[in-house]
Amino acid sequence: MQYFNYNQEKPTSSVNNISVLSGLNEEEWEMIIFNSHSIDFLADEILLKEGEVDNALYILVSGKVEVLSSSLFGREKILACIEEGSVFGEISFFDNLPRTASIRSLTAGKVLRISHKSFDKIAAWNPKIAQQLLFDLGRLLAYRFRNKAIL
Amino acid sequence: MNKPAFPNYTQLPSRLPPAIWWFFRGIVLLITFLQIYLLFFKPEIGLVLFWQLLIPLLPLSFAIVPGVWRNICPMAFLNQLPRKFGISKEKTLSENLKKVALYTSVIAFIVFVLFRHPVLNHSGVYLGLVLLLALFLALVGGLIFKGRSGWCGTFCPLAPIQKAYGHAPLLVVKNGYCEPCLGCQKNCYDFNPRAAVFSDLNDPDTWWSEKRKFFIALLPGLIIAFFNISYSAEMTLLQYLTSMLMPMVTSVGLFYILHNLFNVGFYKLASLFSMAALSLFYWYGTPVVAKGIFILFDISISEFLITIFQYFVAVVSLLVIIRGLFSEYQHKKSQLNSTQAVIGVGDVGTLQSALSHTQSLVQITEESTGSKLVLQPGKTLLDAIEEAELPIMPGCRMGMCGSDPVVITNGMEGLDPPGEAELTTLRRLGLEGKARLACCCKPKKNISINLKADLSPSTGEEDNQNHELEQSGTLEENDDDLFKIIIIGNGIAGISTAERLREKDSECKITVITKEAYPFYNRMGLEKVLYGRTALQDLYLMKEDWYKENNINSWLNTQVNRIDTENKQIILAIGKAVKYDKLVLATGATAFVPDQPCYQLPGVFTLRNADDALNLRAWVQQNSVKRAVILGGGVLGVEAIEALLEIGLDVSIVNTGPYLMNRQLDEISGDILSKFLVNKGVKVFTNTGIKDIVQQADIKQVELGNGEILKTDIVLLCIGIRADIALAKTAKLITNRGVIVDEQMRTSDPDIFCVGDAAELPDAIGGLWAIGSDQGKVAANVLLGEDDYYSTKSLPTVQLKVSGIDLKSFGALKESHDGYAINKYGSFTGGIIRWTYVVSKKGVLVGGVFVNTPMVANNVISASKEIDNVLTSEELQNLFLIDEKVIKKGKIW
Ligand SMILES: Cc1cc2nc3c(=O)[nH]c(=O)nc-3n(C[C@H](O)[C@H](O)[C@H](O)COP(=O)(O)OP(=O)(O)OC[C@H]3O[C@@H](n4cnc5c(N)ncnc54)[C@H](O)[C@@H]3O)c2cc1C
Ligand code: SF4
Ligand code: FES
Repeated sequence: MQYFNYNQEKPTSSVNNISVLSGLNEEEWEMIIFNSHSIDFLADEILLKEGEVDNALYILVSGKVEVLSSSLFGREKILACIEEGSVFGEISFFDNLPRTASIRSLTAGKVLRISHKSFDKIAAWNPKIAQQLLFDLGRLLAYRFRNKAIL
Repeated sequence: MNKPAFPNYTQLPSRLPPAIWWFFRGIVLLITFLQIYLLFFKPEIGLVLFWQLLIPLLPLSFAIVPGVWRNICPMAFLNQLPRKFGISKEKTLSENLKKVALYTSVIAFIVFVLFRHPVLNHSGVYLGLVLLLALFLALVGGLIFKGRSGWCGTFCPLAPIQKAYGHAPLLVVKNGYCEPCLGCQKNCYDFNPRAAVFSDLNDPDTWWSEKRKFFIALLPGLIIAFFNISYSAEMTLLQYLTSMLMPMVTSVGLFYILHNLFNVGFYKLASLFSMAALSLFYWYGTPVVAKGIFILFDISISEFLITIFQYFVAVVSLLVIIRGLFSEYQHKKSQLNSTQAVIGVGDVGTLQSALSHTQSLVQITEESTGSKLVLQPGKTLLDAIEEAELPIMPGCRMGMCGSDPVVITNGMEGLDPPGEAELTTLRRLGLEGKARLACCCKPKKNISINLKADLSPSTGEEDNQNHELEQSGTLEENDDDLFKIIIIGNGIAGISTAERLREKDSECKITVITKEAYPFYNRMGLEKVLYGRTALQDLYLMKEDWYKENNINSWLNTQVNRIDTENKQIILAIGKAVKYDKLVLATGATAFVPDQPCYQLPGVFTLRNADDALNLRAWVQQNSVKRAVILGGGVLGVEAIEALLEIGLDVSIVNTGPYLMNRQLDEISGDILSKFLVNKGVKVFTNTGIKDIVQQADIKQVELGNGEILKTDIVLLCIGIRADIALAKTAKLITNRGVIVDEQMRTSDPDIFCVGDAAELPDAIGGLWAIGSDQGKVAANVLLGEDDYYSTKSLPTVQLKVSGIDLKSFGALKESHDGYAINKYGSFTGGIIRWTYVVSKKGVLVGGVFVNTPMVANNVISASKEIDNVLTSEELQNLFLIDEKVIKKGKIW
C-alpha cells in the first residue's frame, strides 16, 4: 500500500488513479493542443490558487507539482504531490466555483490549459474525445463520491 | 513540512538517543535472563513474577506505546545483534515463507496460551525452556534473514497480539533498529506503525488480510475462554479443547456476523474486537495481578483500586478505538485527495511529442499579468492572447477595425513591419509606432507585451448622454468663406473620408453627421455586445477627442431627412437646413426585413447597429429567452451563432442555400463548417427558408419551407443588407441596389459622393469594412482634386469570426468551367480538418477558401495582393508546400 514505499521516494499516488484520454494518437493530441493553451512554468510557481475563480482544466504535461490547501489556521497543508500526466482543476471545471486547493510547482514543467472555450472547440472538432474526457472525469468524481459516502 | 497522517519511521522524531535505547535493551535482556534463572531455580517466584506481573504489563503497553516494547524486546535485541555486527546472512524472506510465518506466529501464540493451564502456568522449567527457545530462534532468524524479517513481525508469536492491541497506537515511537530500512517485510509494523494493521486489513491480497482479521476476531473469545475455564487436571483433552476453542469460534462468528449483517467495516470491527479483548484481559486479569503483587511484595491492592484500573483500561481501549477511527478517516481522506485523473505513461509521451511538433519556440510575455503565452505556428498574437483568456476585444481580425492594439514593450524589431491595412488603422488610432494590432502580428522571436498600457480609445467611463455634449463645432453659417464638406454617416466609410480629408487639408470645414447616438464604433464586433460586460465601450474605435483634435464637427443623434441639391443644403429632421459645398453619403446599409407581418413581431430582431444589439440583449434578459432561430446562413448569421451560444441559448440556423455561407464557400468547406457547428450543439437547416412565424402564447413557431416547425423565443434575421439609399433618392441620384458611383466614388450629382455599403460600383463586391475604408480615402482624394481611383482588382477577404475554426474566403468562387482551374487540398488529422480550395484562371488567382490553414491562407492572400493577383501555378504549388505539417495533399474524410 502507499504507506510502505520502503525506498523512500517522495510519496506519489498511483494507487487509485483513474486514467483519462487513454489511447489518443498524436494527431488527436495535436487537435487538443491546437484548441487549448500550453503554459510553461518554473519551479515554485503557484499555478492555481485556492479560492480563485477559474474553471479551466489542466493537464500536467511535464514536471511535478504539489496540491496545497490552507488549513483552519491558515497553515498550508500538502495534500498530494502529482506527476506528469495528472489532470487537475476538474472540480471547478465542472461546478464553476472557486478553486478548492492551490497547485504549486516543484519543478519546471508544462501544463495544458483547457478552458471551457477550449473544451467546446475540442468537442466541436471531435465530440468523441470530449465525451471520453467527460466520462473519464465523471468516473473520478463517482469514485470520490462513493468513497466520500463511506467516510 | 507537514505532518503526514501516517508517518513512517523516518518521518518520526527520535525521542531518545540511540545509546539510551541500547542501555535499556541491555537491562531488559538481563531481566529476561534473571527471569529464566528464577523459572528454573526459584519457580514459585519466577512463575508469579512472569505471569502475574511482567506479562500483564505488555498488552497495555502495546495499546498505548507499542514502540517501546518493539525497541527493547529481548528477542528483538538478539535478533538484531547479527545485523549490528554485520554477520547476518541477510536472506530475503520469500513470499511463501512470509505466509508460513504468518501462520506459525498465530498458531504458536494460540498453542502457547493453550499450554498455559495444563503446563506453563505451573512449570517453571518448561516455561523457561520455551523462553530460551524463543530467544534462540530470534537469534537464528537474525543470523539468516535480513532486517527484522527473521523474527519480529514475522515468526514472533507476540507479533500478532502486538499488532492487534497496537493497531492504532496512542503514541508512536520511532523504530530504533532499521537504519536504513531494507524493505524486509510486508506492511511492516516497524516501518509505519499507524498504517501497518490498517494496510494488512485492507490488503488487496485477501489471503493476507483474512489471516489478520481472523486472529483479531478470535481474540476476545480466547481471553474469555482462558479466564472462565475451570481447569482441572482431570479434564479430557477433548473437554479442554472444546471449552477453550468454543468461545473463540463464537467470537469469530460474531465478527463476521457483524460484518455481514450490519455492514460494519473490517477495520472498525478489528478495532472493536481487539479492544474488547484488551478490556476483558484486564477485567479478569487485574485481580490476578493484585494477587501477584501481594505474593511478591506483600502489598495488598484494594478492590477499589482494582476497579479503577479496570475502568482505566476500558477508557484506554475507547481511546484506541477513537484513534483507529480517526486514522481510518484520515486514510480515506488522503485516498480521496490523492486519487487523480491521469494520462497513462505512454499517452504522456504521445502528448509531449505532439506538443513538441505544434509549439513554436516563440514566447510572449504579458507584463501586466506576468503570463507567458506560447504561440502556435501560424497563429497570431491575437490568437495567443485569446487562448490565454487575457482581455482583448477583437473585431475584424485583419487589421481593419483597430480594436486590438497592443503595446510591444520588448522585441518590436522581431516583428514584420505593419502591412498597409494595419498601418492605416494604426494611423487612424494615432498609434503608429506605439502599438501593433494583435491580429496582424506573427512574432518570430520572443516578445513582451503589455495589455494594460494606456491606449484605450475611450475612457470607458463615458455614457451615451454625454455624447451630445461632446458634439463640437456649429451648424451656423458664420464661416461662409470655408469650403464645407458634409459627411453623412459615421461608419468606417464616413470616418475614413473625414480622416483622409483632414490629413490632406487642414483648412476645409468637415462635418460628420449621424443618426446613431454613439461615436465611431466597431460594427463588426457588435455581437460581443450580446454577451460582453461593457456594453458598447469596448467597441469604440477612436480616442475620445479625435473629432476635436482633428477639428471635425461631429453631430451624433442627428438624422438627415432630405438633400436639397438645388440649394446645396441638407435638411435635418429637426427642421434645420445646413449648406454644403460637397456632400459625402456614407449612410451604409440597413438589415433587410421582409414586409410580411410575421417579421414585425416583437422578438424578431436584426443585428446591424448598436441599438439592435442592445435591444436584443435587453430582450433576452427580460424575457428569459432560451431558444433562438437565426434566419440566414451567411457570414452574419453564422457569426451571430457564437454570441447566442455564449449567452446560453439553443440555436438553430436556417439557410435557403444548399449549405452555410454558400456565397463564400465551396461545398466541402460549407460542410466542414456545418459539422463544426452541429457538434457545438447548433441545429443547421439548409435548402429551406421560413414560411411563417406564428406567435403562440410566449412561444414562436417558425414554420420552415420544408414543413418542419421550430419552436423558439426569438428570431434573428440575417438575410442580407440593403444599401441605405433613402437620402440619395431625395436628391434624385441614380440608384440601383445602392447609389451608383464611378471608380472615383462620384454619384450622378457632381457635388455628391457616395462611399461604403451605401455605394454600388457595378460589378464590384460590396458590403465589407475594408471596402468602405478604401473608398473613403479615394473619395477624399478626389474631393481635394486628386486623380484617384478605387481599384476593384483587390480581392476583399472574409475572415469568419468564430473561435475554433479559422475560415477565410476571398475573391470569387467560380464553378469549374472553361478556363478556371480549381485546386483542392484537404487533410484530416485527429479531428482538425484542413481544407483549401483555390480558383485560378491561367495562373491568376481569382478566389479561394481556407479552413484551418493559417500559414498557407495568409501567404496566398498576401501573395495575391503583392503580385497583383497573378500567381503561376508553380507559385501556387510552392505556397502549399510551405508547411507540410499544416497541409497535406490528399483526400478529406
Ligand atoms: C455584425 C456585423 C459584422 C460584420 N463583420 C464584418 C467583417 O467581419 N468583415 C467585414 O469586412 N465587414 C463586416 N461587416 C460589414 C461592415 O461592418 C460594413 O461593411 C461597414 O460597417 C460599412 O461601413 P459604412 O461606413 O459604409 O456604413 P455603416 O457602418 O453602416 O455606417 C452608416 C452610418 O450612417 C448613418 N446614417 C444612415 N442614414 C442616415 C441619415 N439619413 N442621417 C444620418 N445618419 C445616417 C447610420 O446610422 C450609420 O451610423 C459586418 C457588419 C455587421 C453588422
Ligand atoms: S521492513 Fe524495514 S523497518 Fe520493517 S523490520 Fe524490515 S528493515 Fe525494519
Ligand atoms: S484590427 Fe485587429 S481585430 Fe480588427
